[in-house]
Amino acid sequence: MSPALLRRQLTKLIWGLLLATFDFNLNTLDILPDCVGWFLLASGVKGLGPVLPQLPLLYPLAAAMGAVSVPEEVLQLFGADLWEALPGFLSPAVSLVLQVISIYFFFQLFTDLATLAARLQPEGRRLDRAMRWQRNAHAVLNTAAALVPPSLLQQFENNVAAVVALTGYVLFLVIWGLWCLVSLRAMVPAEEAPAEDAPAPPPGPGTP
Amino acid sequence: MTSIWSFLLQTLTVSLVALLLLVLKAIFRDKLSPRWQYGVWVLLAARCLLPAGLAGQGLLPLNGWVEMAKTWAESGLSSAYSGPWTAVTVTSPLPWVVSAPWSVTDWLFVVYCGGILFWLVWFLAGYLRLRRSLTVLPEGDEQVARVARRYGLPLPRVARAPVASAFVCGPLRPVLVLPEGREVDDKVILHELIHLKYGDLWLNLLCCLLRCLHWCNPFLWWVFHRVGNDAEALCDQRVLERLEGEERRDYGRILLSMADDRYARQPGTTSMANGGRNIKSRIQSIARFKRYPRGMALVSLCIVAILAPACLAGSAQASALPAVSDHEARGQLTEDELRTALLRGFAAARSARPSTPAGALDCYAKAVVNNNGYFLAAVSDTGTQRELYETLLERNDDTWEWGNFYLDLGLFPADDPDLTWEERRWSADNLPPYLVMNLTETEEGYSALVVFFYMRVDAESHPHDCYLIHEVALTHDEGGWLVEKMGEREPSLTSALRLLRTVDEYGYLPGLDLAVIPFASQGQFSSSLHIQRQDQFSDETLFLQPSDHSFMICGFGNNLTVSPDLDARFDTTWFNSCLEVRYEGGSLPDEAESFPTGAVALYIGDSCIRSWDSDPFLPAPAEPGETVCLHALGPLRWGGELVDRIQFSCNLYTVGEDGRVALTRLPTQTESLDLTEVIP
Repeated sequence: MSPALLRRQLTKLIWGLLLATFDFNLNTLDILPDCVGWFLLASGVKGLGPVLPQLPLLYPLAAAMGAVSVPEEVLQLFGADLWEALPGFLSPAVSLVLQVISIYFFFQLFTDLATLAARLQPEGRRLDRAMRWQRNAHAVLNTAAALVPPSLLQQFENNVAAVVALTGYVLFLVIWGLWCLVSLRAMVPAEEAPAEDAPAPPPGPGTP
Repeated sequence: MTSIWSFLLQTLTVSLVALLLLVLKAIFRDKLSPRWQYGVWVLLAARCLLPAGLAGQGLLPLNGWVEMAKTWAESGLSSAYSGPWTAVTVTSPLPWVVSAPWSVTDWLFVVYCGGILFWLVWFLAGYLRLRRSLTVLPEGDEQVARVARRYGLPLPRVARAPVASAFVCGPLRPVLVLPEGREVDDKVILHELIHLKYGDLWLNLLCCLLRCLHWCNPFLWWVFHRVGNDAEALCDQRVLERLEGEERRDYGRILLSMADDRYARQPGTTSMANGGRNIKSRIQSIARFKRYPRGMALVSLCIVAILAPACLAGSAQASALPAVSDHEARGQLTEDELRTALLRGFAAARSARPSTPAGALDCYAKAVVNNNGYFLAAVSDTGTQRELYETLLERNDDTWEWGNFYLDLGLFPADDPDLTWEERRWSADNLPPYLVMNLTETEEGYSALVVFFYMRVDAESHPHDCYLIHEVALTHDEGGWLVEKMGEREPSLTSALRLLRTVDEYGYLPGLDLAVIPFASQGQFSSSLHIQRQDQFSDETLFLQPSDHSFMICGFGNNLTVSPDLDARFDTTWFNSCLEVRYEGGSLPDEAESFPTGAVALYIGDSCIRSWDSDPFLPAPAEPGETVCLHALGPLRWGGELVDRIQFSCNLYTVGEDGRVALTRLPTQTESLDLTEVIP
């Protein structure tokens, strides 16, 4: 895979992570749409198949997350909530499955990217280790958050310190992940110059 | 499980968990290791061994559906094991027959119990037959010993028998059975020894027992078969991890050769051959074999951790109680439609009982406020439910007016003959829909007063603030808390009465039964401050506030949610104390402003946590020597700590000879209140 193509796929992952994780709402419009983020992630993992053969296994997971995000954001635009629109008996089960998929996706993504980092990183640099730590922190903290009972969450809604801490940890994880991806992209070597003994390209029409 | 309905609930709950796990396993089929694929079944095993509805409803409202089916089926029967109006509960995953069967549903349950015994005997007989047919080699087998030594595995007893493929059996005294007259490859022996090492025989036995328990559920039989296949796939993974290169390919070829072999399916046995289709799947897995990195264990555990609460405990939130549709309220449904709606609603009510006294009171109050019979059913015993159901069925005609239901059941006050019933509206905007007062612990549970505020509009369109005070008793049964109306209190509407108004918490509550004694004062005041607890409705007066976050008790605005908060908790308890102030002296000049006013401060230790001024009671001066009562409403708890001291001070306005009003603070007097907490 050419370095330019590799960088392009990593760029998709960077933007995908940014969009899928952050929300910036102008009234009911999310200008950082999650669905676009997930589709970028899906495209990126598929595109990295030549260098990481196991990574495209994540493609259907990302595509599914993106597919669920589309109706969610469309309904949000009109002030509705997908989870309230779903039949009551489906909502908790679907939400649970998506939670599991999300945690696994990011874990496996950074695991595979860590092996790529191990190949590309210069001597003495341990970006692969940083990526593994990030994926572990992401998995553990998101699992812990998922296990907190809703009644306990409600109690902390008005607790400024708790809200700040929660926001802080989410920001920290995402920024850490973005930093890892950006660093990995920076490690991709520049385009190689053509070899000296390579045959010259054929003359074009009209040239002597 | 003591009835066919409890078994139905249990088996459906287990099936639902199995379905969820199958969906997730399919999603992660080629992503998570065979260890996770097999290990995640531990959630299913745990679910089988836990009663359904242990900690709330499951992922689906199965309780409601089973309740509805039960009520419909049992309505015409006289079952000894269940009734149409009793809630389905599962206290144990094992069944037992409590008495002689009577109805069809009782006999179905007896047949189910008999089926369990039948299958247990069937499997046991098959296993004993198998064991009797085996002849254990006293000297063991040299090949088996060599393989066990090489890979550090346990060495079982060995037998040879005319079987198609090798297997191990006997969890207690394991035996490795090899085919008679055939050479067996070392890898086959390795496979079976690994089964032995990891206790798969015991798991197989457990699956067999669970199959017997759910013998009439074909879906679960298929699921348990899948569990066995996953055990084999994991064993393949473990074998491959011990082999290298060409040996792995050989293993695949051996497996392929077993595609047509029959295999032992007795409890407590495992076999490498498990059918042609399964072997094909296992060979595909072998082709995909890889060593999963150690870090994968973390995400596998995370996924199981997230699934565990949902699979084992279900949703912590009780199911929502249904609202009454307009058509239903106006009697516009056919009898069949109404019967179905009522059955569904009452079933939901029985499966969504309040789990706390506060939740029960909230449910009861909202039943009255919203005219919702289902809310009322959720806090009613079985006898009351039946009456409610029959009353609602009878009321289904065009003449049924909105609200008549509650008049007939005595939940709403009869109209005052002097007022024409034009419009009835719950509460004014600055009053709460209801208050709970005087919550007192009793032998059976609790008693309380539920005070409703509503407005009547008379024929001249004049609004009148009114009160409705229900005396209720709370009791607890297996399903949750019940509320029974015991009587009513008559409010005394005295327009001159007011409670103290706190600075930012309360509006005033007009008209409650308080004694106010006019006061008198003149010039210089000497006073004695006498603080006493003013009893309002009983010896202990407590205001209790449910923790429904959208419910503003005594607040401004009325953000009451329609649905009850069935798990509500009392988190704020208020006391009501009265300060009597007596003054000596003559009457005040007419131009005197209102006085006295009082200041109340609450202390925890030496820290004043809160203070506020009271409103004056009466602007007009009264006769000398009389007293005024200043009432203080304050929280019993502040930041989680119990308030242990309340301090009153009294502000007196004195009128000098020049007519100027001066403020004088009287010496404060403190009282340490014995604040007995009654917060269930």
